[in-house]
Amino acid sequence: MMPLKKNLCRLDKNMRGLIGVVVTGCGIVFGQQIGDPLLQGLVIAFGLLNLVSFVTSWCLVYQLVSISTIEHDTPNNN
Amino acid sequence: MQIEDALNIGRLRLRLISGCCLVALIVSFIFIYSAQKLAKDLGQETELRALKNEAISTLSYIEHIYTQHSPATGWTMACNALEARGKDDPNLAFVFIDSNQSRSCRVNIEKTLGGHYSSFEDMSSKAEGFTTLDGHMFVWSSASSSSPPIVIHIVRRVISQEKAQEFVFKRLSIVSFITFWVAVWAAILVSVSVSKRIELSNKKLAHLATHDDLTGLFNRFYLAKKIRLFHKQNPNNATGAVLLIDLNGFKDVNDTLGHSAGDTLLCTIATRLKKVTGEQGAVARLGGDEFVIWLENKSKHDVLDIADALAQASIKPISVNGEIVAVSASIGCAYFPEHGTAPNTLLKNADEAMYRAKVSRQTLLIHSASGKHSSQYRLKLRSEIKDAIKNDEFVLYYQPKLRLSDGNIIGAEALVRWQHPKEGLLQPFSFIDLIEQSQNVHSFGFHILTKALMQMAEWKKMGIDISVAVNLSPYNMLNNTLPEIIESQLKLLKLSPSQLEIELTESATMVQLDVIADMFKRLRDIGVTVSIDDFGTGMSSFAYLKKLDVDIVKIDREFITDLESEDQNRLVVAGIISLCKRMRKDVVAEGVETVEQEHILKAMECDYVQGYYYAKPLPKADFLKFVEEHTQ
Repeated sequence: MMPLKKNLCRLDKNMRGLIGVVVTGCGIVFGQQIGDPLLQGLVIAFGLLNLVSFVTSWCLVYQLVSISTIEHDTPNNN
Repeated sequence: MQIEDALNIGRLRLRLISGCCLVALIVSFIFIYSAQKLAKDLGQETELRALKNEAISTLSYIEHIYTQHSPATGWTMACNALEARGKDDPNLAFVFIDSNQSRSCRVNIEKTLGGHYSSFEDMSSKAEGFTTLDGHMFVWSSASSSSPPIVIHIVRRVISQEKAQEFVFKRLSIVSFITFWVAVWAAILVSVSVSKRIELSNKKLAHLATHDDLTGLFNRFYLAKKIRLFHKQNPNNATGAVLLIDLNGFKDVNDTLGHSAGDTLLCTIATRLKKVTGEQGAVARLGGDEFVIWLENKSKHDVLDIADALAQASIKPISVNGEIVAVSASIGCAYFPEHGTAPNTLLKNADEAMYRAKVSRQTLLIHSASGKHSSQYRLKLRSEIKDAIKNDEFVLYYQPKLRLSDGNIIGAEALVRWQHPKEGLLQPFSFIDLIEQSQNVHSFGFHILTKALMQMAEWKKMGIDISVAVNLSPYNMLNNTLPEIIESQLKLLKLSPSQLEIELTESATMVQLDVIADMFKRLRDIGVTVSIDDFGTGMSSFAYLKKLDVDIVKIDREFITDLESEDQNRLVVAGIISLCKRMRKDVVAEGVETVEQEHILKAMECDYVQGYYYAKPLPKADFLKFVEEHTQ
C-alpha cells in the first residue's frame, strides 16, 4: 500500500482548501443551475479531493510522480 | 555545458507544465466557443424553419377563408384569426397585407418589437432572417400568394434560443473546467515523467563525466573542480594536500598476467585507497596506474600519516586469477597552498615528487621547489637525448667489483652519467627513464655497450684484464640482433666474451619473461656473462633464477644496508647466498659500506662485493689509478 507522506507546502495546502470549499459549495448549492447530476457529482468530487488534500497535506498525483512542494522534501539530486 | 546546468531541469519542468496548461486552456476555449456557436446556429435554423412553416400555413388558412367568403368578410375573419393567435403568443407578431383592398392588418408589432418597431420595415424587405436587437433575438419570415394577392409577415422574439444558449454555456463551462482540471494534472504527470527521465539520463552523464569507468573512483575533471571549489570557498588560511600515487610493478602484472588481471589489481587497489582515505579526502584515478588523493584541512603530519597508510595498503599481496601478486606505491605530495593553488600546478608538483620517489626507490617524497625535477626540465632533457648521444655526452663511471676471499679486483660495473653542457653531471635517475620512454633506447644501449667494450679493449692493451658489467634496458633485450651485435663487436675489438657481463634488474626480467630467457640463453651461448641486478626487490620469485639461467645474482643494496643491525636482512641475504651456491651461481653483494658488513658477507661466503666501502663509481682515469694502487 502506498504510504501517505505529506507533500504539500502551506501555500499549496491552503489554496487547495479554498478551492475545495468554493467548488464543493458551488456543486451543492447550484445543483439546479448545473442541471446534470453527473456534472454535479464531478464538481463535488473535485472539491472534496481538494479538501482531502487540505486536511492531509497530501496529494495523490504528486506522490505518483514523486514530487513535493515542501522544500526540504524535494528529491535530492546529488 | 556545465554538469550543474545539465542537472538543473526544474525550469524545463515548469515550461512543460506551463505549456501543457496553456494548450489545455486554448482547447477548452475553442471547445466552448465551437459548442456555443453550434448551438446558436442550430437554434436559428430550427426557429427559422418553424417560422417559415407557420407563415405558409397561415397563408394557406387565409387563402382558404378568401375562397369561402367575400373579400370583405374574408379580410375581417383573417384579421380576427391573427389577433386570436397573437393573444396566445405575445412574442409573435403578424402583418397581413391585402393588395386588392390596399389595406393591412398588424398584430402585436409594437408589443413584440417594442422600441425597435421601425426595424420591421428593414426586416420585411427580405423574405426571412434573424437579427439581434438590444440583446434580444428576432426571427422573421414572409409568405405571399398572387390570387388573391395577399402577403403575410411573421416576426418572433426568440426566447427559447436565448435560454438554450445560456444553458449550453453554463453546462459547457462546467465541463470545460473539469476537463481543464484533468488536463492540468495530466500535464503535471507527463512533464514530471519526462523530466524525471531526463534527470536520470543527466545523472548518468554526470556520473560518467566525473567518475572513472573502471574503478568507480572520481576522475581528474572532478578532482580539479573540487580543488578549485575548495580554493574559492577558502581563499585564506586553508590547507590541503595532493597525494599522487603511482604503482610500481603494475606494468609487469599487465604484461605477464594480462590486462584483465591488471584491471582487477587496479580495482583492488582503488578499494583499498578509498577505505584508507574514508571521509578524510577524495580519491581519484588519473589513468593507468596513477591515483590521486585530495585531502582538505589536514596538517602536514596528518597528510604524512595518511600517505603512509596508503603505501601500506598498496603493498599487501593481491590474488589475481589465482596468482598472488604484489605492487608497491611511489607517492608524491604537494601541499595546498604552499606548492600551488591551481589543480594543474598541484598535480604537476605532486607528479614531480612522485617521479623522484620512484627513481630513488622511496615511498613518499614531498614536492621540492627546485626546478631540477620539474616537468618542463624533464621535457627539455628528453628533447636533448638524441643530440647527447651524437655529441658523446654520456660518460661511463666504473665501480670496482672485488672478490671477497682475496680482495682482488675482478671487474667493474659501468655506470652511465650524462655530462650535460649546461646542467653539469647528471645522475642516471635524471634521464634513464626518459631514454626508455623515447625512441632512442636502442641507439643509447648500443652506444653505451660500444663505449664499455672500447674501454675494455683500451685497458686490455694496457695489460689490465678485467671484466666489465653493462646495464642494459629490458627494451634492449627485445632487440633480436643483440647477440650478433655484441659478438661482432667483441671480435672486432679482440675481446673475450667472458669479459663482458650484461646486467638486468629483477623487475625488468618480468617483461616478456620468455623472450628475456631466450635472449639470456643466446648471450650465454656466445660466452657473455649474464646477471640479475637488484635481486630481491622486485616481485619475482626464486623460481625465476632457474628459468632465466643467469651466471651471477647481485643482491640489492637494500638488504646490505643495516646488515649489522637487522636480523631479517641477514636471514634474507644468507638465504639468497645459500640458494645461489646450490644453483652454482655467483653472488655479488651491492652497496657494501662498512667493514662489519664485509665481515658478515665473508662469513656467509659471498663471492663478490661492490660498494662505497671499497670505491664509489669512478671516472675512467680515477678507476685506472685505483686499480694500479690496489694491485701494488
